[in-house]
Amino acid sequence: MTAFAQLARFTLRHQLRRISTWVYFAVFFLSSFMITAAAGGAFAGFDLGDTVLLANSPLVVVRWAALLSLLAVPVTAALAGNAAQADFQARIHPLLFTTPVSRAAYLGGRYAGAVAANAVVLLGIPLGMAAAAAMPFLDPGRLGPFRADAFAFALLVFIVPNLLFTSAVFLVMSALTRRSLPHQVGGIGLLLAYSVASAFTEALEFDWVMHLADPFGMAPLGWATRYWTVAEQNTLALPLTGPLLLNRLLWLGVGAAVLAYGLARFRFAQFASEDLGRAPPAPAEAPSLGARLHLPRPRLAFGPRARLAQYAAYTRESVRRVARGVWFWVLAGMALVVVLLSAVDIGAIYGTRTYPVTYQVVEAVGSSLMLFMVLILAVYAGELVWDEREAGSAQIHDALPVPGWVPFAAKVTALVALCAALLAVGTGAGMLIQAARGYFRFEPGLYLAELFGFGLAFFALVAVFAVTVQSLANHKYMGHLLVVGYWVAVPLLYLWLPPHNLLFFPSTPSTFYSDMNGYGHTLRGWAWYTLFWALVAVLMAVAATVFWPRGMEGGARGRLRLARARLTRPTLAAAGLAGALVLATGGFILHNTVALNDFETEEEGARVTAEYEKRYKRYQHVPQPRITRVRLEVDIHPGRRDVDLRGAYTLVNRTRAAIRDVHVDLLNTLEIRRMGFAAPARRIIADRRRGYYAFRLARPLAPGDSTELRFHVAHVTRGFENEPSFWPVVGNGTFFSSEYLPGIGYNPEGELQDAVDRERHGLPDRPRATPIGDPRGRMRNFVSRDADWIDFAVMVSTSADQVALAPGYLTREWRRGGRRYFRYEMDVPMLNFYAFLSARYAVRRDRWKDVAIEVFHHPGHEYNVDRMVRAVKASLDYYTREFGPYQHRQVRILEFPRYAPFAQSFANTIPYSEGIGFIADVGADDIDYPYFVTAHEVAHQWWGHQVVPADVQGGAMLSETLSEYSALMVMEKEYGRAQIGRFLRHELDEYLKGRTAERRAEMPLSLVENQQYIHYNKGALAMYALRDYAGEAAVNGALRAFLDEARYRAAPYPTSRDLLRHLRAAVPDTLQALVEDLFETVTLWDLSATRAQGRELPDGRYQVEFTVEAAKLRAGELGDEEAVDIDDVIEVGVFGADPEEPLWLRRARFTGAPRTFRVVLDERPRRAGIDPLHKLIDRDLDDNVKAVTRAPRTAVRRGG
Amino acid sequence: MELRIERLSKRYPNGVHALKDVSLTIRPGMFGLLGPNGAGKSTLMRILATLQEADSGAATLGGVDVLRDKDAVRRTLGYLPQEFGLYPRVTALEMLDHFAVLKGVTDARERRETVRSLLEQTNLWEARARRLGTFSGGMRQRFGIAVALIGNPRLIIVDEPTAGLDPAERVRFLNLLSALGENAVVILSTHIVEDVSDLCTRMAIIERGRILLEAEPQEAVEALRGRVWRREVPREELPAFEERHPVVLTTLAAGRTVVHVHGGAAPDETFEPVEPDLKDVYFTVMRGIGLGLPGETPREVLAPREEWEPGRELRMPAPAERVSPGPAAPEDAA
Repeated sequence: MTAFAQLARFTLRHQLRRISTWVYFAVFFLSSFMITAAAGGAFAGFDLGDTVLLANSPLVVVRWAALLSLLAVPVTAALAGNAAQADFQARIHPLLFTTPVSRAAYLGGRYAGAVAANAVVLLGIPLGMAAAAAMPFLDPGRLGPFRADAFAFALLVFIVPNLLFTSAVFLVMSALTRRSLPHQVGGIGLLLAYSVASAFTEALEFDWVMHLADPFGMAPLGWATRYWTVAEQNTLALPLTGPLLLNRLLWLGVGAAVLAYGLARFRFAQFASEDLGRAPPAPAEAPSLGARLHLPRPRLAFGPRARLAQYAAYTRESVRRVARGVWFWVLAGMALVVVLLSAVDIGAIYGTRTYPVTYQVVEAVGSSLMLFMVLILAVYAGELVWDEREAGSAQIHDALPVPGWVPFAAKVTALVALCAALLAVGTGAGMLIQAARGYFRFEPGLYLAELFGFGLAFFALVAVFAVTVQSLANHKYMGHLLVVGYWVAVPLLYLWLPPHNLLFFPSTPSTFYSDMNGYGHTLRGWAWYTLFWALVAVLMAVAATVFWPRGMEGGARGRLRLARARLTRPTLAAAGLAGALVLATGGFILHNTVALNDFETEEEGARVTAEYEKRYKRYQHVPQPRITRVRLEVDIHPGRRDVDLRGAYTLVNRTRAAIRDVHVDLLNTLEIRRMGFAAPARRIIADRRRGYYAFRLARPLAPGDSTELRFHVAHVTRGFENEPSFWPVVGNGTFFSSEYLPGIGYNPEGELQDAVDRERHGLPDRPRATPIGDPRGRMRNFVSRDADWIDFAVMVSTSADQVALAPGYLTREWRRGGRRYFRYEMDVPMLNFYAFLSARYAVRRDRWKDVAIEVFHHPGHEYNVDRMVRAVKASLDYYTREFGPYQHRQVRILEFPRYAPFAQSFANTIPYSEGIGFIADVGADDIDYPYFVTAHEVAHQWWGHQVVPADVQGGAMLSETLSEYSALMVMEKEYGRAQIGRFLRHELDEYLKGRTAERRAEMPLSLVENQQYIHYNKGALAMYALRDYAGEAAVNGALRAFLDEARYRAAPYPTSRDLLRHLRAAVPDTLQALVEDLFETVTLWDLSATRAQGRELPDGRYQVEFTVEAAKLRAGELGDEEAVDIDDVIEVGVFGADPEEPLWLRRARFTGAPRTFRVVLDERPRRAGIDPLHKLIDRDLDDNVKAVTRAPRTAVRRGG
Repeated sequence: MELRIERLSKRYPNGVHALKDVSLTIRPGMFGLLGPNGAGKSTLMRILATLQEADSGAATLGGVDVLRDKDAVRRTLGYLPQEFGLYPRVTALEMLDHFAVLKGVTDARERRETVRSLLEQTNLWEARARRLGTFSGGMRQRFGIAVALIGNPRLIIVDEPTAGLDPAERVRFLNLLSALGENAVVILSTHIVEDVSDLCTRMAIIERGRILLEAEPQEAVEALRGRVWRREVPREELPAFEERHPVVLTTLAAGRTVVHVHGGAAPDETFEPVEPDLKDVYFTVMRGIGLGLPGETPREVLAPREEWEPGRELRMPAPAERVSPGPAAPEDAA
């Protein structure tokens, strides 16, 4: 025991004397200090928090502490590894191991000492947080009281248990293998375990695997707090839930088991002798005396060919060295696991996966390997560069007649070969994933391009960088630290430096693949930047070669002297040439990205946007004429990525006074060729930077009078950008909407939205939406401020191989000058809201009654076209029957590239992203979201294009919520209630998660302020609940009545109040409260079953008795809840073998007291409870029903 | 062709003056560099092997400036460092082949022959497919020599090759070295006197960065003839004896202490004459006693090294520090 204590003390003291221990402490102290300070609003440019979230709330403290303790893994690895290895490295182990210290005392003492030292380091985390929270420069509004309980929780539940576990793993690994690489591998392994666990946190259902698989306990913490609103995040103490407790105990147990295993396996003797314990083979005798050596005299070659041969041999040898190590194969195995895991949920939406199309699989493979490869490069760069030194053969190598660039180039090449091998593993795994799902269109070219083109180029640059750093640092671990430090520093630098890719080695503009457009124009920018970095890599190579560690001169002065001697004329010339080329390509890139294109930092963009508002907001309510007629000629040039937009708006003065000035708002990226009026007018504002223009008419426009705005604007693509843009035109799959055309009057949409940005630019608080009672808001609709209903016709042209589309019906098509022209005309008034598309399409045509159905899709994306056509038909069927006629003669679905992930409904025209349905792989039990999305978009032809909501609070309830409801009904008819139930579980999850991110105020549905989690997710839940309680006929009747009243109405536009009026009229008195709960307040129910017992009756039937409770809560703006009196009718039910269809279901009134039900059934009951189909919003669904247990005999007797 | 070293000096950043004005001229053949640990042998060897920089002085090999034109030196250099490791999982054949490529033997057929010939002559051919990790110390040293001999180098530097070899292995290894012949400049550094007396035609004694003696071993032994005397001295009298007489060497013979004393005549009748050997030369020179030879550097009296001499009493509770065998520790106990 004393030996144990002595060794522990010795280890602790040893570590505390090392400067690195205190550097680590400082790193953690400063990180947590900075994080807390940044969350507390200390730095304007680096805000990790927001104005309503406390920077030191218990959840924030615990979350950051848990995360930082995850980042501490490498430090733990170093400290524990050092504790285990110090004796071996100092080579005093033979002396130590022959002392009478027991193995347990030895290893245990080392462990205790390492843990203690590590705990000292990690104390920096809570200390940093606490210190930051006490600083005067934090926003006091973001600070809550000091919560000792939160710090205790962070320490006792996360930091210390993680430490105990990881230290055990690393110490044992180090002690048993005595290698430094294993604990790096171990670190990667632990991160892997964490990523495995977090891969499952997306799961909807409670899952023990997910809760227990995460060795760091973040998964159960995340699960327990996933629905916490801002108010709860700010105040609640962290709960030590069962799963969290079990997780912690499990991993402490694993740590203990690892330690025990280490004790059992650890042998002093094994390490006292250096060999593997086998007797060495007999040494060969030396030659006998007297013989003269006949030294062979081969020709020696030192020319370029010989150098190449040496480079090749060196490379081969380096690769062989790595490949013969077991750890490389361990890493390759891990890579395989990571890749296969990434495939579990490729492209899942609503739990439905996409087909494993190659670009998605390749992307999953690439991104899951990314972190892995960067780590491997950092580790193996050190291993390879110091290989000869660690093997002890450096002196032999260094005295060989080989120039310094040979080992450098060989090691870089070996690293790249290593990466290529892992990428090949990834490729194999990717194809395996595809084949396993029965998908055999492998597209090897895409694997090649993505992994061995972009991927390998990146990794090669990183390899040069890592080897260079090792060479310059002249110290393996310092090199590791610098390489890893660089990757940590880059995101931080991003905050301070302009985000130009030229500033961050080795970043390039993104390349982005779409089945429709390939890599398109993204290749060019990538190629130039890659060339630039390759030249920079040449400079690095020169530096690395000149400073290449060779010989025994260690000091800085000696190395500098050597470097100067090595800087020969050819080397200088090569460096000079590379330097000149770096400047030239860099200049060319800057010319393209900054001179030809606007390189705007976020800050600059915000400033311009703020100026727009500051200068022109005063014109917002200046009376303006309305657009009534639009005629356009649009020339799309896919090859050049240009578009010409010529047009004429008819403007009518609908006000009661003459209008003198007309204001025009235009995207500031567009170039104006011509803009003027039919009548004489002069420009009084022309602000290109902010895209604002105003004209004074020579003769003011009298009330009722009209004029014409004629314009020719153009988008011209020049060179390439720092980050590729996909708007408005791309090579194949152009999609842009009317925002690229001039608008009339000031555009509030163009204002700066982010609250913090606004404050920094001195702008007042901006309401998210106009209040529902605002009369001016009711005078404009939700899609266009400058028009009501317009008369629309357009001529659109494109290249000869493409089809161009726009809303309206095709009236003419012709070719001229190698281009195709199309004329589309709309025969009924439509909203001033339209889009243009152009691509090489295949078309699927069908018909529903007299409505033509057309799906324009990418050839090869036929998978779900039939499904979409069926959905269109079913939708037209249901909507025309339930709501009223369809206003057009045609429904068109038009695929566009996955540059944006949505579908959008324009008049008779639905652009639909290739990413959200065209490649969905809908299995038998999956939620058919292509069907749903199609039905939703078709529903917008009614809800949005017939009923046009006013631009006020609650507007999205009329367009989005009603479309969501309509689509739900169409889907229910096709797939039944069970699938709707599963679908709504996703909606509930999204809604509850959405609330947690709310930073302003969660509005009731009827006052929704463009909050997606409310108008989509909660909207679907609320409407479906209402329809369940009131019946489909009543709800649809109300909707029809509302539609009849509001159809094609112009200003003043309808609001959610109009809809609610109809809904209230349609439901009985008993449900008026429900309407209030669902639509007019933020209400949550807390429903639970507390007991469920069953028994078999003598007649062979079954009796079940169960008790349930119901409570109701109302939430405030930030989720602070308050219990309210309940008097609600809620379903209770019993399930048998079928988990989705109840055996028995009835409604019961709840007024606060628990209620017990006794039911006699023919079938054996399995589960019973309240609201079993989850129609009401409840944060904890798992306790709604309880498994029926067998009643104790006595209870049965009494109950009988 | 000869290796000419002129006024070579080297001082380490920590102040240790490893080489002071070292000048030597070494002709083809086996040259022994004899000196205790820390005398500067390895520093000199590493400078000649292009691995370290000299502060001042010059060294030329034929017409090649050894200090500046490193690449030219490396093309004709065979170097066996004092301590080296080899990749344990690589076979001898693979490793030697690899080194041959790096030495410039890029023609595959010639390389095959070279590698085979060297492995055969170092008697490692049978073991060519074995992993280097399984080699004994002697095999490793022979493998090292095979590496050094690739490409028929004209300058061969062998740094303390016999340290750590058992007596039998040492003999075999010396056999191999002795077969090198007279075609190249071979510098053998060692702290073992017998290595030099067995092998070398010329030698130098180096101590604390200075060359104390440069001579032919035979000539040096001759110069000492009739000037070394021996007698037994009881252990407890040793300190007093050392004060009275110029003791050059204290050895143990069957547990009894025997001292060699330098002098023109026997100090008294208890002494008997000794037929001197190179060891007597070495220790005489180390004591600062001149032999009167032309290759001798006049020297100031050096402060005594802190050594653990056999006469001194060993106190038992020694702290567990690393104990290195003193340079004067005699080998002839074996």
